[in-house]
Amino acid sequence: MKRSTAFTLASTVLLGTAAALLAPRSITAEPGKPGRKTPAPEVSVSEQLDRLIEQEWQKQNLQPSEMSDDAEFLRRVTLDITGQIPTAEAARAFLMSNESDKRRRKIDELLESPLYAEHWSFLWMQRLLGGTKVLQNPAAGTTARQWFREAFASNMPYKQFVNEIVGAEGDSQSNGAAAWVVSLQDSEAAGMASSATRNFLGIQIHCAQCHDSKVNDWKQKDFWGVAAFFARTRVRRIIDPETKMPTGVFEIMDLPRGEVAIPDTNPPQIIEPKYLEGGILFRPGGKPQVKEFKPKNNPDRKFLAGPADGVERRKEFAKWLTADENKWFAKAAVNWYWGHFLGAGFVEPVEDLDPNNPAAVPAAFDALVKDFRDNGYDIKRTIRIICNTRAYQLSSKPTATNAKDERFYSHGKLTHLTPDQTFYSLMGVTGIENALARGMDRDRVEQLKQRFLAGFVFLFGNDEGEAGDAFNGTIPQALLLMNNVQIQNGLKVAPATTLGKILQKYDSTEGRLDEMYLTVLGRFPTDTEKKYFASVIAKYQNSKLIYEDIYWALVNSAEFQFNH
Amino acid sequence: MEPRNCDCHDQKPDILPGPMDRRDFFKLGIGGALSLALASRMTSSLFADEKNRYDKPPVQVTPKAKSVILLWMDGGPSQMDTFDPKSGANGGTLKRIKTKIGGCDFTEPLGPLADVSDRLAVIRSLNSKEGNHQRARYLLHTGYPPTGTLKHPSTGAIVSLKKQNPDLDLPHFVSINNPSFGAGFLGVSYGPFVVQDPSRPPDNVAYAAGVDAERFDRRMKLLEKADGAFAASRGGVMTEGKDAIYEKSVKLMRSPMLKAFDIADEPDSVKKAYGIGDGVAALKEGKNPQRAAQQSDRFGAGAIMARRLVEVGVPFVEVTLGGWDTHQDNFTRVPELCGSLAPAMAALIADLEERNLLESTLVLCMGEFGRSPRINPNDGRDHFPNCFSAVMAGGGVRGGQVIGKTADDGMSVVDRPCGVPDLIATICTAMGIDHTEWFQTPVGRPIQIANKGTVIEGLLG
Repeated sequence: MKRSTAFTLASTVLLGTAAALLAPRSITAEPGKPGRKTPAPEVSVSEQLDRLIEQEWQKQNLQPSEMSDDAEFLRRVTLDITGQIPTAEAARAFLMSNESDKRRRKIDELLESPLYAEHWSFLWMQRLLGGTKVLQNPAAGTTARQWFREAFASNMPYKQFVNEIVGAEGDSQSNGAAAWVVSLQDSEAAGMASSATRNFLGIQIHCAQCHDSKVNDWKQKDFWGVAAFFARTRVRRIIDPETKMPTGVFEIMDLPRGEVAIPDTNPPQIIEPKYLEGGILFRPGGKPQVKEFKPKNNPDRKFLAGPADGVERRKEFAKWLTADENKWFAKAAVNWYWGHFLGAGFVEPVEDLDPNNPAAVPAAFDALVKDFRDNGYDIKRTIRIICNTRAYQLSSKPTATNAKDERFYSHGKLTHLTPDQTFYSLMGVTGIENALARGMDRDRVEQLKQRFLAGFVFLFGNDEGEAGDAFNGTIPQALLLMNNVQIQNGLKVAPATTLGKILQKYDSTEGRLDEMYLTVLGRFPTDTEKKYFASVIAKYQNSKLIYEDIYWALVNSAEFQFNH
Repeated sequence: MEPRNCDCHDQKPDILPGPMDRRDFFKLGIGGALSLALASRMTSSLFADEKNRYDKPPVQVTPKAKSVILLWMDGGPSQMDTFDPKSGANGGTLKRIKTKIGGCDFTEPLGPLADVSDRLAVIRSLNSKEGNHQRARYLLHTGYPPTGTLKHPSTGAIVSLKKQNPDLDLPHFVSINNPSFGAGFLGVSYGPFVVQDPSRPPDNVAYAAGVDAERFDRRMKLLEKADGAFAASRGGVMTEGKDAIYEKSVKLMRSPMLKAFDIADEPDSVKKAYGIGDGVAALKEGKNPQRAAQQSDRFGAGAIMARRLVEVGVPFVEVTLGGWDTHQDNFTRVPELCGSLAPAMAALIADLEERNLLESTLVLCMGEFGRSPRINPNDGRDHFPNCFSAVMAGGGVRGGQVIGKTADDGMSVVDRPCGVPDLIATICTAMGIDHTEWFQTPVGRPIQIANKGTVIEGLLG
């Protein structure tokens, strides 16, 4: 592949330049100077990224936004790490604190909170399992959620995480990592090949499923060479021996034989397993003698089987996929994480690491990838590095020159809350049982959430259960926030609601407005806002209804509905 | 014609602009009116000299349809027990009846449709390769088989994008009884507005308890104040988009057109004509009569709502009748389902005609695939994508004809095979939408609306 070689060369050159630029700076960091501690290695990586990004701003003539204020930072980092807005209590404490390193401490604290594992397991399940076929089965769903939650709670090295998913064995009830293979049973080898290459390598090779790609360099043989690694993987329904009914649990089986062929070739053109950077996994003596099998119920489907060769193909693929030498593996993960936090990946679209899509600030990208690889694929470490950069902590208020910049991180991002983020945030704002905090059974909370999200996601027209960036202000969403009965009840002044408690706890108009703003927007009201709303409250003689109306307005505001 | 199994374009035109940022699509989604100009980057004229793309020159048709009503038969209806009956071993037990179309029989439970068959065009030669429900649903809604990354827009979303009408206060794509399929890379603004229960108006459009118009106005004024500082400092597409959506939502809440969603004031005689209330009687023998009756009533109610929505100008409405996945007891269940479908569809056609709307409304009835000619040991039929039927009426469709033919044993298409993309190309053409137009996807892969389908000949005009 000519182009990718050129790309590698180019980035090596760039990396070299960057290293040369950096070297003198790191020496002048004056670690011994009083008042400055030796920066932790992670901090130095954050600083390194910032220097590279700052150089890019200069090159692009971009005036970066000012640093976010504490409230803006806290809300963003809490949403990004835990999937919900900060509580009023957390916001007040953070805003009042005078500690100089409170941002760094907050990042550490959030990463250790159980909500981190909760949120990130959800994000990864959503990404890898898409539709919820596996998750719908109560037993298998619980197993999968537990496995993903555990993986993030224990900060499982990313390499191991992917290895266990792609090489999973057993059934969906006893092994949560089996969910990925099980969820792809309908699309079979081609589906697994597409999902693995897209999600774990960030490449769009599935374009070449039907013919050589015209958008990039992938050939049809490349795609089917990857698919061949999954040719022997089957998923079987487990039937209850007594009732003879399907249990909803699925078992992964790897057969000793099975091949793939290029579609619509006659005789079938068998493709041997082939890693993307060349190298055929094995070459049995001569062309395999392959026979076709057609399942009875589905005459349209064909399976091909050649001789057994004793190779566990899927496991071999998982090894190659996650190897340090794999040139995409670490990059794809780092790009995805960076995109999640900064609003845009180094490479955009995030899952398209094509040489035609050069990275923004490639030296920074390479530095973060190197750190990830060199430090055992430690996800939390990478998140800490990202969240401690200046780039991440900039305000989303644009300057005169950077409003249109969506590539070089010169201002904070502005994105809609996802359905998941909205659900948890509303739980606190309304006072609808925040069951997580009360230690309620997690699976019950999960069911509650699934039920809520089912309505939500359905409403938002996301039939595939995908959310994330697809969640994008729609009419049903606005109607829901304005008029939905449950939400409206939660925004009333009543003994059990958050607003009711605020009015009970604070007597003064000012105290009440402070707490309402802290609860919904994570900040104190400005003087102008305070003055205006206080005058409205006075006009309506301090009535309950006017508090409800103001609270309603805060929940329906852009500031609440955006991560900014 | 080869059934199409490929999700990609087969040639990347050099003239396309570079890859579009995903964010640009966000803007499209929010911007609404902007979208037309931006989302469709190409016109077919650029490909005028391209040879061999189409077998025949494009059919010249004066588009007559302003709206589409898709009656979606979820589960895969048995073509041999409905619109394409057969004799012989595979034929089954349902009686055949004559229709007004020469040489075209239906099965007996479709009696009410046989009566209006001079308005119907029956396509008997649809075929695909997708025998899995979810994949086939996706194919029939978008023209493309599902792929890993790219989410294709459904036909409803394309119509919604192409038929934006500032005078219409309602969503342009409404799906009743089913979430349908979204707008994919076009952005959620063009996705379906879902009505989960057509017997009552949609959720969240009425003021909350304790809120009247006056209090709502006050809230909106407070919202303006609460939004003020944020919008001023962050101004731009995102916050403006939010304002626009709120404006549209309030317009919807307060629109007189909202009444189109409320079938309560339809006379009982109309409800009866659409089969509402008949369910229980017709389904006494069924396995789960209550559920089936409810489903039947909801389909009738959905069909009435569809007619009401079309009357005010909604360009795409989908109404679902589920339960067609008859692996068991096919020969008791299909007549029951036909008992829901036939009266409602016949009444809908008659109703539209009476209101002079049939000419401008394309009614289309189809499911995700057909069912196997071979009858299985459970007296059922299994999935069969090799041949299945669809029925069209109105919207410029020439009624009283059959297109395509299946073999006597029902196992294959023997005349004029139609791919799913052809069907979608035909719907688009009937609506005056250029199905050969290229769209730029977020990863820079250009695709055509109808996956290279060609208009089914003789169907329109």
